[in-house]
Amino acid sequence: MKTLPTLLAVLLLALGSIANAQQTKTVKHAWPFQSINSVGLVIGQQNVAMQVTTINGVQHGNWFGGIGVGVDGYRLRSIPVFAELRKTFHRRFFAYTGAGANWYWKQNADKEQYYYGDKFKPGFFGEAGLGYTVKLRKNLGLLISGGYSFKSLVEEGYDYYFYPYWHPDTGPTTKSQVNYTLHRLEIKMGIAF
Amino acid sequence: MKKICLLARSCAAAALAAMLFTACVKDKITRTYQIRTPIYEVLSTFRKSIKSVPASPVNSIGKIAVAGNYIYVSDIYKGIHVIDNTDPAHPKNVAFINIPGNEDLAISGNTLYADAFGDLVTFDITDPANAVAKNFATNVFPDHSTYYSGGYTNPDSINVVVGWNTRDTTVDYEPVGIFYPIWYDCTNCGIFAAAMNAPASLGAKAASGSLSRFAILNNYMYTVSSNNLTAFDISNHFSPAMKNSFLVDWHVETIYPFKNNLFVGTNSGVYMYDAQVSPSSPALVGQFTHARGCDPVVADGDYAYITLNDSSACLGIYNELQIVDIKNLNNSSLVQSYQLTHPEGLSKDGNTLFLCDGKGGLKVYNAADVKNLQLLKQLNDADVYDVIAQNGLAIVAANDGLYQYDYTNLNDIHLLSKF
Repeated sequence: MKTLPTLLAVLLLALGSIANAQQTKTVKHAWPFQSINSVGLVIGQQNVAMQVTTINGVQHGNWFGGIGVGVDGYRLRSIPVFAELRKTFHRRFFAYTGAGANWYWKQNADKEQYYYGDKFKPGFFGEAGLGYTVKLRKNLGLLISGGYSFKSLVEEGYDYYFYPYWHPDTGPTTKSQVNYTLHRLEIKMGIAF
Repeated sequence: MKKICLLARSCAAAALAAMLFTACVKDKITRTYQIRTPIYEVLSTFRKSIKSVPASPVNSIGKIAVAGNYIYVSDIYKGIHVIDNTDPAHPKNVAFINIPGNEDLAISGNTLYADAFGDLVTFDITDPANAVAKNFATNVFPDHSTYYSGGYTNPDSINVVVGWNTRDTTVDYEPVGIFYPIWYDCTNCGIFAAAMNAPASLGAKAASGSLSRFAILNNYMYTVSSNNLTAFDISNHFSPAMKNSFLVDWHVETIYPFKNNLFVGTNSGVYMYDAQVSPSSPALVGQFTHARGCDPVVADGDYAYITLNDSSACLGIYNELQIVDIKNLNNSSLVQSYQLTHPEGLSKDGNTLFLCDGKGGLKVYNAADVKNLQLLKQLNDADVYDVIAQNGLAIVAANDGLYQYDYTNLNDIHLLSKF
């Protein structure tokens, strides 16, 4: 995770360069492509973690719709994949909402896992919030936003029976499930082009 | 006034924001699992259910034994199926002996010995289809049962667990980051932790699989638990008398009788005991140490054949057959090893070695030259784990049933039946 800020900086610079290059293009589309790339913090009950997302889609009037993917480091690192919808109002302000699936991404240092040989099932990811756009250049904006973020995961495992000695068939070994439902606040900053 | 209103609104907005913030950052983690509570029955009542009942389908094949024209198949923790094998091409399921907690069996003459949780039950199988329980040796496998704790031995005053009531429950939970075993609310849970055993006997007409944890030698039956070797005097066939029980090693797995010796397989090696001088207290005469792994063992006059596999329960990493020179039990030595898929039970008939290699199937070798085994046949009909081979008939226990092969002609080993 220490290298993540560096990678993000490189990513944002690269995206900025791409956006800069795109400004030279003059072709206009009714449904122009737009890419929104953000880095942010998710603030939860346990701690504060980083979140990186890239959302790519099309813009139509004040509306934007796209598909997003990211890395969410809160508690159990995961990869959300979601659909995003945004509406701009008063030119600078926007509201956004997104929903999709959330996959666990195993981390060697992950201390949350309950079971040996655990198995995670994908959960839900959702977010909603408000933001403000600072126009840097034509077709290039700096986004600042904040809102609510939600993710869930399901961890499955077995409870082993140790008494008087372990054997999977002798005792009442049972399947067990841990449901993680994590509500957070998020603050994001990114660029859109 | 306007400023006051503005201030009030600001305070209200801040309070609302704080409430929202608090509500939004909650982690809700729940754990759903089953709580099991035991169903008890008085031991004397429980024992009355241990008897022959009409034949029933085999559910989960465990250990196997052969006596005369009958095959006895342990259905793990449930009992023993009696198979009339007069015609190996058409075996008939003729009866089921209900023995809750059963894992192992051994046969001597018309007597069947079987464990029932911590007890040893003796059956008269003069009529195999109608086995009659003749004796219960109480709590002779104490590490498989704790229901006698406290010194109670009267079957009418002991409750045993015969089943479980199960209900799901969901609780708030905070991960602790470590493995956390669950303990159940039952004082007599041990009743369900019976021996991981099967039959091992080389009586005149009876034979057991190499995964057996019971062995009959002369007038004694020997059993192994996870740590101990126990000797029973069975001079009176229907009333075995426990004579001795002593520590062998940790993680004892199998016992195999040959001549007047006992070969005890453990995770870390094979212990060889002489049972001739003092049958009630076999003396350790040799030991062969090998890499950690599950290790059934059989022996002939000069060599012991040990299979090691990487089952997680044994913490092993090897899958191989090791052949050990045992001409001098005090100084056994490795002769040759062979890499295999996942070897388990094995049996030897003359120079022919039958080896269950898990999903690799049953492998039949010419073992005349132990340094150069010749594979005669590989039968990939099933995921196999134990075999009894005698008189041209190989009875093979597999995950999906019982297979029988005719090997009277080693050039034409073929499947006779699947049960």
